[in-house]
Amino acid sequence: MNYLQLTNAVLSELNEVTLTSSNFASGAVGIQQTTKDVVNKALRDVYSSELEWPWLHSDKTQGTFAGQKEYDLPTDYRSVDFESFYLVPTELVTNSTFDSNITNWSTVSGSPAYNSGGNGRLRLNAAAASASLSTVKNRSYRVQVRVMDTSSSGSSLKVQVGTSAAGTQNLNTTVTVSDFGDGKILDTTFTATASTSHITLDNDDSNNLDVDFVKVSEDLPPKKLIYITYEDYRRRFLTTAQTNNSDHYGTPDYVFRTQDDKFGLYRVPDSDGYTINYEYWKTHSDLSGSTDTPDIPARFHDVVVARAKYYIYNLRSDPQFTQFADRDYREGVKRMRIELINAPTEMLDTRVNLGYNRRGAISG
Amino acid sequence: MADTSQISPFVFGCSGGLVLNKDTFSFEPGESRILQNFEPDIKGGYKRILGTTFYNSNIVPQVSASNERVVMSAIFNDLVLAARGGSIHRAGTSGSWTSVTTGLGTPSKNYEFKKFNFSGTDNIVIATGTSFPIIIDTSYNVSSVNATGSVNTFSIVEVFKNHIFFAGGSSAPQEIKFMGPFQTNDFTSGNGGGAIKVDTTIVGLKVFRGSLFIFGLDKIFKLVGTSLSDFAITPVTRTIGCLDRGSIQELGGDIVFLAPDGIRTIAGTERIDDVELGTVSKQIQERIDEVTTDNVSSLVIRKKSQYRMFYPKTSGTEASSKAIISVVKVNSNTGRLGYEYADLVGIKASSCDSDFVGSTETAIHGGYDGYVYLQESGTSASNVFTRAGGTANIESIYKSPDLTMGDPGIRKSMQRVIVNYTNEGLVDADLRLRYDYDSATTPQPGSYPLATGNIPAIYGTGTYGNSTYNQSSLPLVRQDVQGSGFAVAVKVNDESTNPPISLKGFELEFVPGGRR
Repeated sequence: MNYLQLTNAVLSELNEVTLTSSNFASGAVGIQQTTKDVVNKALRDVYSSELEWPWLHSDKTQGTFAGQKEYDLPTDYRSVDFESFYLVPTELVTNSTFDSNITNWSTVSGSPAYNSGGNGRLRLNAAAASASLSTVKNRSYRVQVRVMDTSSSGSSLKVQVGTSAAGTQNLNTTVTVSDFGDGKILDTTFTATASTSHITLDNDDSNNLDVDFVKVSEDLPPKKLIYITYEDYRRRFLTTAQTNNSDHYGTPDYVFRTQDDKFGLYRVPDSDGYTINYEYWKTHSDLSGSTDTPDIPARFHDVVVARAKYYIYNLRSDPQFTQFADRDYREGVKRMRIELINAPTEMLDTRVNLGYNRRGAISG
Repeated sequence: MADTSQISPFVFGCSGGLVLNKDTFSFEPGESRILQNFEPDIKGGYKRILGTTFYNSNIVPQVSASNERVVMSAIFNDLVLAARGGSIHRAGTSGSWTSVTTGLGTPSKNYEFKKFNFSGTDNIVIATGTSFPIIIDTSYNVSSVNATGSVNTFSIVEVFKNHIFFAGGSSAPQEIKFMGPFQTNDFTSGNGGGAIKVDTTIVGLKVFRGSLFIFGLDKIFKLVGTSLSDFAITPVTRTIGCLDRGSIQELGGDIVFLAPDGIRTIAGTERIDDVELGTVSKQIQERIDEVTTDNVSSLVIRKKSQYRMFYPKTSGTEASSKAIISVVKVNSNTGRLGYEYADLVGIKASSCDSDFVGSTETAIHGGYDGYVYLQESGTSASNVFTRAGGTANIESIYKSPDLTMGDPGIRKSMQRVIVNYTNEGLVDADLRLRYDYDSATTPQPGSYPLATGNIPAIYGTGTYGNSTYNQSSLPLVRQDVQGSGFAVAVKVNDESTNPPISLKGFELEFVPGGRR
């Protein structure tokens, strides 16, 4: 249900005059306006009744900057999973998966085209396309290319990296699909010789070769960042981190939460090429327009209606129906918790070595 | 069994008419805050009025200008005499208008007429105000009342004890002149004629219960006696007069007229001699204050005990022209006989009359557009107001008082309205609920269609395929409704062309709520 439908659901249960899309914004009066208000109030109650409702989950990507140790948390966060922080090398190719187009890829020869097969591909047929990359001279980078030979032609795709489009100064190799019907993934590396490099994909033959993705990143292994408390950070690393010397810069190992809605990294990043991925639960926005839809799944909208009825009955001094509505709401939230936030059946104990997997079952 | 213990019923019958002088808490439930083009029904309830049709589809011939209004429309000898621009024509319900007389001067006010029969032949005497009075017989011979003593500005006429009385002469507005018994053009005292003066400008004359009542601007007198030798005048009241002679009618065994303080009855005024108690229209005083005297005319519909007083503004449109409907009936809620009122909107009557044509009571009015119209003539196929430019739907509105149902402090969550009405054909009306005095801050539900109930088959009038055999003549329509408020008013709008619906009563079913 959208905002209008939620409001009307409450009004209908009260046998009050419902609203229409035309008078919803400015024509609501009296109990109608009150109901609009309490629907948002009810939504806030439902959202606040649990910290980590699945529909409020969100992912965040934060690029690092060399020498910067603290970064802002998202403005709409209400809870951050500090166990989810991962450091990965930054993907250097813009539009590396061709989800909906081949934007950011330049034509070198022929007519590179978008193909909607799979989850979106770059089709090369007697054509070549290139993309520029921001690189650091003398650093090593990993290249991963997946190609599909849809016409089973056996043609080879040239994969080239150089200082200009179609350049081969850093990499010049080919990939050929042999298992037709499946793709072939090329994994290779190159060392950059300039601050801007170009990766070129070239199919000289008049056959269709579809490129599923092209990924280029610094040759660094992803790593999970270990969460430590701010007190721990201050006790162990703050002095070093505050020293005006780049000797302690490096690949971060730890993440901690500051006292001003930020997260910090230690070691202090020594590169702009890291990306920090983490998960968090966002706050919600009040509904405003008649077609605004809440994040909560539709099957639980009755819980919102019950809570809104609670406020309306309370306003109208009807204690009996207030209690009924409150009971409906509480039972509804209980059902939501059972269905959406079942507790894990096992958990990790890091205090002692319980064996090879250190897992213990939860009982009771 | 369903639990209905929380639902409270509130039942009221439609009776009491339009009431505009009460506070919210004093209204009787059956009374109306708006009653437009519904008339208090002597059979109970409020019935939508019947429309109008052309009495004769030909326009009354004009004399010099197309905007000449019909200053007299009189039923006489089973025809209609219509005056326009100083000429009088006659016609039946069809065919052209035939000239009866011309050259009566340019009229400024309505002609006044009285019918009499001194010699076995019906006559009508007409005072024009712009010529000597004239008398027309059933052969449409016209004679002038121009004997010595007559004046060519008499505008008021009455027949009393076989004497014809005139008044309203421009040079002697306080004077009444009368001819001798059975005389039609002789004012001499030797033959029983004479003159009487009163100390006020005479507005109208009316015979009632053996007396001739003389309505002045600010006084009312009564003339008793049978001839010149014993005519005597006594004052009825020296504090109240009549605003317009066009308002004077006999209704329900009394004379009603428009006084400055409202519609009065002469019996009440005479008996009580008290300004307040003689007034019968206090409940619509607000409407009385709106009455303009550009051109007041009135008629009675005897079979409905109904008085209609039209008070159009000369410059107003037909759609905005108004009249007051007054009905003498027993209030079913109180058991008392009294006057009930309603507004009639949409007829711009210039002059009017009602009488029997054969055995059929006929109500007519002449329009500002030159046509003569038949009232009470809407048909089951088309119940509309007929006008020169076409037809117009009758905008009928009923609105109950704002009902607090015993406790204005608690909220009533409305569940259902049960409407009791009778209908003579198809119904296409709207039922509405208005909460909290039509407050803009309270949600007001849209209209609910008040559809056709089963039409009872009445022997001789039932229509095959339309009427229902063995159907109650008082159908109940149950309508689920929405909304809530501390006060609730019921409103019915009917702008259809359907035959009249008669609202009898309502039951409001609600759940009492809190005090917030």
